[in-house]
Amino acid sequence: MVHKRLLHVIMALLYHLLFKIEIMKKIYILFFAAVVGVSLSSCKKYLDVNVNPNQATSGTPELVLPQAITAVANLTWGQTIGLTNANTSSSFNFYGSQAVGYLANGGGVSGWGAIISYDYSSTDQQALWNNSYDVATDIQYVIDNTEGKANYAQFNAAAKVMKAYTFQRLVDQYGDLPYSQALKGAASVTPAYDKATDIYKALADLCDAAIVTFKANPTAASLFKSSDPLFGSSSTTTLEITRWIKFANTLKLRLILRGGSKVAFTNKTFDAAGFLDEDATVNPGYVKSSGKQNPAWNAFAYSFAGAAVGAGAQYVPTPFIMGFYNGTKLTDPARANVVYKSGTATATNQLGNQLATAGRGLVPNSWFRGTSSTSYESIGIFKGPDAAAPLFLLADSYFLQAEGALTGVTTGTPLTLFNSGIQASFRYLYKNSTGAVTAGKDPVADATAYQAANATKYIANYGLAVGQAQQLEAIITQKYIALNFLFGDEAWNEYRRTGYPASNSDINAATPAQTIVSIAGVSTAADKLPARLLYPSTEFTYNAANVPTGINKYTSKIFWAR
Amino acid sequence: MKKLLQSLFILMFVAVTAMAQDRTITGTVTSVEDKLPIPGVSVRLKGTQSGAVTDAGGKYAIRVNSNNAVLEFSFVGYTAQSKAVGSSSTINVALVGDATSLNEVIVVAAGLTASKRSLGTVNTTIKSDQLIGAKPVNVASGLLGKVAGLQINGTGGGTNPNFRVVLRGQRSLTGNNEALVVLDAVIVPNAVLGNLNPEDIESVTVLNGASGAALYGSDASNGALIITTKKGKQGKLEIKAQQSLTVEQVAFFPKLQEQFGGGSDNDLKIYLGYENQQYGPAFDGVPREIGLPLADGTVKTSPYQWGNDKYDFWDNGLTSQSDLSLSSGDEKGTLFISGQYVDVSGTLPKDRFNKANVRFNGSRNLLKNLSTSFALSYAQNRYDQTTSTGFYDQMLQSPGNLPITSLKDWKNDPFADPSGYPNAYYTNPYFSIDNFREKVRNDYFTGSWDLKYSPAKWVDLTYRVGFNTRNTSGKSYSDIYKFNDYIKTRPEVGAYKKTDIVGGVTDNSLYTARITNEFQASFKKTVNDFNFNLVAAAFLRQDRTKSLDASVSGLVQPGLFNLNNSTNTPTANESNYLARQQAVYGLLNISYKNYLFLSATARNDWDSRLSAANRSFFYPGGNISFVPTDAIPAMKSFKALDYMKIRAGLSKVGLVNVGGASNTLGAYRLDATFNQGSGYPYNGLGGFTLGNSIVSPNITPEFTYSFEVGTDLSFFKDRINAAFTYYKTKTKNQTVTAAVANSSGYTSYLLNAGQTSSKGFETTLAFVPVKTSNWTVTVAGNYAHYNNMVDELLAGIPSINLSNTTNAGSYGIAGQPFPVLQGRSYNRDPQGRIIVDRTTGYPSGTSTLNIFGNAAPKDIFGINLSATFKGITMTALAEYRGGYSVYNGIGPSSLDFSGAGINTVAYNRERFVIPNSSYLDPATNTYVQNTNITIKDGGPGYWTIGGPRTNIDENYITSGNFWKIREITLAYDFPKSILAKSKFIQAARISAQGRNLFIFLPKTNVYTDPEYNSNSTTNSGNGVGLNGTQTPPSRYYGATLSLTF
Repeated sequence: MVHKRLLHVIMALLYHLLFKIEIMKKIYILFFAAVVGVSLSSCKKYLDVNVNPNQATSGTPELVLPQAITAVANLTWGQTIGLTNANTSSSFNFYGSQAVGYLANGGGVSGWGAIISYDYSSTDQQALWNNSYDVATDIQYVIDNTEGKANYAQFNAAAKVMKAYTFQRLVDQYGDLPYSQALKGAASVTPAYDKATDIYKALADLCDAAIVTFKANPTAASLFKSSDPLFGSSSTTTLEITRWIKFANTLKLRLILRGGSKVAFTNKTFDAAGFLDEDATVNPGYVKSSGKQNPAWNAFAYSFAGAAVGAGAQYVPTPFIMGFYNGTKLTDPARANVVYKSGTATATNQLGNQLATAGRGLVPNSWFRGTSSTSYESIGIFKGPDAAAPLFLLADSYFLQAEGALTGVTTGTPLTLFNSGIQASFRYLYKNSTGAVTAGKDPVADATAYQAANATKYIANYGLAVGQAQQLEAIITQKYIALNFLFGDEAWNEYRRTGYPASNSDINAATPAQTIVSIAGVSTAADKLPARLLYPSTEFTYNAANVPTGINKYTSKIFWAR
Repeated sequence: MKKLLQSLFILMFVAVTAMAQDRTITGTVTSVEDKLPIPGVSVRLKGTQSGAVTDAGGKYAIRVNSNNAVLEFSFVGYTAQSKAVGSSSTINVALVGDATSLNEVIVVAAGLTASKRSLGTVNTTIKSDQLIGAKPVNVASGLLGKVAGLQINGTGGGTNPNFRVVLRGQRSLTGNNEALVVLDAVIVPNAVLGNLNPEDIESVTVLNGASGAALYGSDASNGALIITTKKGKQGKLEIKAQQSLTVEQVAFFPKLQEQFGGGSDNDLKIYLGYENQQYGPAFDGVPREIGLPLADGTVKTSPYQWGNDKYDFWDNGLTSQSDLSLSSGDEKGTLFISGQYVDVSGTLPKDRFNKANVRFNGSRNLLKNLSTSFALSYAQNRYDQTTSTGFYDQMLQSPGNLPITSLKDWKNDPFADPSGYPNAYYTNPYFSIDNFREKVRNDYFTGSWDLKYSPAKWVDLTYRVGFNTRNTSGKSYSDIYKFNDYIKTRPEVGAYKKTDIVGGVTDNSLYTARITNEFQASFKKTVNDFNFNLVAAAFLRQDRTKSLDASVSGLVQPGLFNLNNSTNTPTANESNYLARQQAVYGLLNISYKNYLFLSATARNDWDSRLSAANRSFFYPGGNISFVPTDAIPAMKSFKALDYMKIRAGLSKVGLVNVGGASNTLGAYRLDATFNQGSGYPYNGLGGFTLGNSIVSPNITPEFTYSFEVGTDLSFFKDRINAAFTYYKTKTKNQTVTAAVANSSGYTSYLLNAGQTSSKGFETTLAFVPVKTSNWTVTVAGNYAHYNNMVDELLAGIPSINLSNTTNAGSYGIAGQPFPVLQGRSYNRDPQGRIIVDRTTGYPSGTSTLNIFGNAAPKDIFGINLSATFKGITMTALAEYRGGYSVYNGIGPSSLDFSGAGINTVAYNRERFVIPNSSYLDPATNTYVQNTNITIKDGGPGYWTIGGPRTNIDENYITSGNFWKIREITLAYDFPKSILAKSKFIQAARISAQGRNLFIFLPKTNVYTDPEYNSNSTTNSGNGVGLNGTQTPPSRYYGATLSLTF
């Protein structure tokens, strides 16, 4: 009863309000017109204010590719997307360099953690993973948006080469990882893991596919040339593409040598164009300005404003690497005098030694040839804020070819290629920030003198090496010297694959110059070294169903390891 | 405000009839509480139909025909009184406020008013004197502990700390959970709380749930604080002046060891005079060299003993607060003008802050049926403070023997100069304070204006416009400093002494503005025993933000802080934001015989931040209130029970959660973005990188469904008041920014996923054990229990990180309380013992994260005590929070790595066996109880190392429980008899007050005040439960003199 009465009253009231009262009618009409008008008629226009005035919402391959190539090069020293300042904690070279004996903790600084103990946690070096995938997303965007488009063929091929380069680096530190299901965004936010060997095979296929495309488009389009900070400055449009083909070939050679018989490569032959015959370096236009400096310089030498980078002075070379310069193992004053701030007199420390005997780092760092951000030699490792960033050293190319020739993967004379590798190492170190060899320096003469001075050592004189083991040791050891503090990760990969340069795992018996092992290390492996990095904590948190479990940082070796 | 509304009420509903009588009685009706006249009081001759109504001055005149006549005075909100006429011709009456308050009229949603009796949802009104008794500078801190279900957390210290105000815990996973703030019927940004003059506030009504607030639209799902500012009072000019002085001290230091000085060598306690780490030998009082020798070979010595410098570094801050207000009014209108100036010096040396407010509130009856009112407020504040942070950490990274406070004069004292400062790894804090500074100015203008037209007594048409704007500009700068060549070559010193400070300048400006427009039509109708009130309204809102900043690094000329004074090119950033909302809403209130009330609301929003297809959304709500003590005759006879009210509410509220103006992506998040890559553009060529966020194309609003039921009770003539509310909410279809595996190519994913729920109850009990003419004692308690859960998340998104850290952090995880702490724990054997290495004795941490319990309190209990004896009033307020955990970010580095913390001396820096540990016996492959394998170093080799200690987050997670004495005030009102002699002073009060006075923590919490949250800026601040190294919270003592003329 109450319900009915209530309803009646409400209806009566509404009727009364809306229609009955003549004097108020106009006000109601006005009011309801206002409400309806506001809510409906102008609704769309009033509310359509979502055009982003702050950021671009679309891109093009010609905008993304050059950035991606630069970012790939920057991964070596850790300067990546979103970081205005380079960051050694996300640097492949920096990680590899401390693992493989290029650099150690300097004295007077504490809190080293896993860098000296090898007791890696899942957060250690996780930026290598995160930043690589970040860069790979940009590369994949270029691939996805150029596939099958004739005018973008070279973009597509270049992006595939960069993808192979980026994923090879990742596999070498982590083994199995998301590849085929990775980089798909919302389509797969928890990507499945692929076998490392399958990824290696796929990466070699990417190189082949790129070579095919480049050969079909042998003249660089002007759009591509201006979007190519790697070879875009080549003298001719055909030379540029030839260099891309050689780069892809050399990358594939590295994959095949490292993967060996464990990978079922589709095609183990190499394109007739041959291998890299020049250092592959990236320079988008590095300049002494905020965020625009050469990544190595920015990370370890001086800020754009001229302040010494704090981290640089905390590290010193190890006695192990110094032994290849100061006569302990080899004599090499010429290269020591461009690589180290005080040549062979530069203070050293064995990794993990935190006693007062630990050598102290120099300002801005012990590898810097100069005294300030404006007074430097423009040589060696830190050539200048405007120098190009190396992506693939010619020396590396020669040593890969030498090994290929030695093992029958490629043709050629190992001895010649070995000597060319040493010369190429001298040449790279002698180059100044413009890429030209510094006046007064002669890489060939100095390399020859170096080999003469160490003529009794087969690791410098290939002719003395007896048998494939010694020959390989000579090649890998010279590569180790050539990659010093330039590609620490590559040297670390080669050490784990070949066991060279020889390092004594018994650190109690060894002198510091004989071992790369940290005296503070807690590795349970036979060689007292870590075998790999742990998957990053983000994978455990956000991709827990797929991330492999049971990984041991000391015993779970990467598939190609000894 | 109350009286104004009451008068309107009377004018509308009381037929005024005054019939001729034999003689005239005159008089004034005043209020006992404030001694002010009350207009609109009904004066009735008992037993007759004749009566009168008091005028604006509270005066009345009525004719009576007999000395036996009795006058009855009644007014809404006051207890009715009867007076026998006798032979007198003047009868003045002082009415006592109707403390049962059931009839009190308060401002509720959408600027409308309602009697408390009719409200079907829980609400609490805090009056001015309760709010500002302890003289808080910030309104939020004045609300602490006073309302059941209201949780307020400070976010960081400093001279003007921010507060996070949350009702009923958190619902939205990554969206805004802060209560909506409504100032004089206009929704304003939460930032206004920090810049409002607390003295201007008449009352704050807290609507705990979405049901009560639904009409305010999508932000109302978090409940609302409805702030009403003071208005002028009719018939009287009143001037009030007040001066407060408050001393601020750093409170709640972590527990520190006072035994060991500088040193960092493993296993050996070797003294190192320039160390920051405190793993040296035990203090012995013998003078030793500190720091390195200067270039000339001189070296400073100091006794090797604990000094109090870590504590003495902090200043006693001083806050001076001056207030002046003026209030007046007549029958045509009212005026309220106030001004306040607050000058603050902080606990960090040289930090200065000042704030000035002016407010104009007024109302005017323009025509008989047309009235207008306005409220304008301008506030400005100025900061002059250091930009250098981490002083707290820096104090902890200094050995206890380092005489920091004697090293202030860094310009002249070579040992205080940064090059010569003894600590090789941390610079002189006094230098940092001087060299890194900023000046910030903020100007706020808040205004509202409304126009109310009442063409007939049953219809009101109201138009209201609100405007709120903030203008900020700031400059931060640092000067050039070059370390001397001598110190740069010393191998002992850390990187900082090798890196010259090149100087730099950053200039920034920010503008935000919000405009709201609202049109309301309200209709009233009485049909028999039914009262109907229908409101229909339309609403528009626009938010706009623009910010610009530019910076240079590297100065040319020292001491000149200008963007053009640089060796380098400036970098610049710009961001813009524009969002619009529009809505129509309706409200229908039906009451039956003033004891049964039904209210129904409906609202439709259109929000520009969503795509055209998803931007319209509708949500209804309703609530019911029933007063059985009025409805059921049998209950009326139950004398002990004054009244009882039963209420229930049900509502659905939508929330667009794609970020707001503070996150300028908010309006534009639906499209993926491309940004310039690091370093780009180079040589005039741009280079893009894809943004790291995936966005679901069909983002829709999240909806909160809530239900609440409760009762309000009053016993023994208001001596006991009680309220109980039970609520339950579900927030579905949450818009979430989920972190995703980097291997997907992205780092975050914005999508609709997941559901949270909360249930809990809120109780309030106020008890007046003593009430005599001289004494009044009130004890009031409020208790709220929270149970907030994450019910589900989308498949593939196992957890949501709320704090943007990869280690210990605050997370939303399906099936767990919301939020929970997650971190690494010890690797333990199946029996729960910590597994240690058989040779080193070191434990290790898990690589995956484990859950460490909820990060928000489950129980909050507040207790208020107030005692009045004649003119003396004492109040005290205590609060308990319990049932949660906190991660103390100060632990790993500032306390353990440095060796400053008390935990590091638990074993006197000797090797020890990890308690309750075991090791794997390789022979049997079983875990054996560890009784003899000590850790291989009891010093820095253990306490500072990540693997066995600092990366194991479990070490730093403690209970967050605490008891706090939040406020104690003591006030004395000078007797009227004394003041009367002065002729012009109406009232005078002197008071002493203290805030945040004491804290009681469990023994394991050696860290800091758990209430302070470091995570105020990341992910909309929902990641609670994490303490950082910000300046600790303060304790305040002060005194106030207040005079009314």
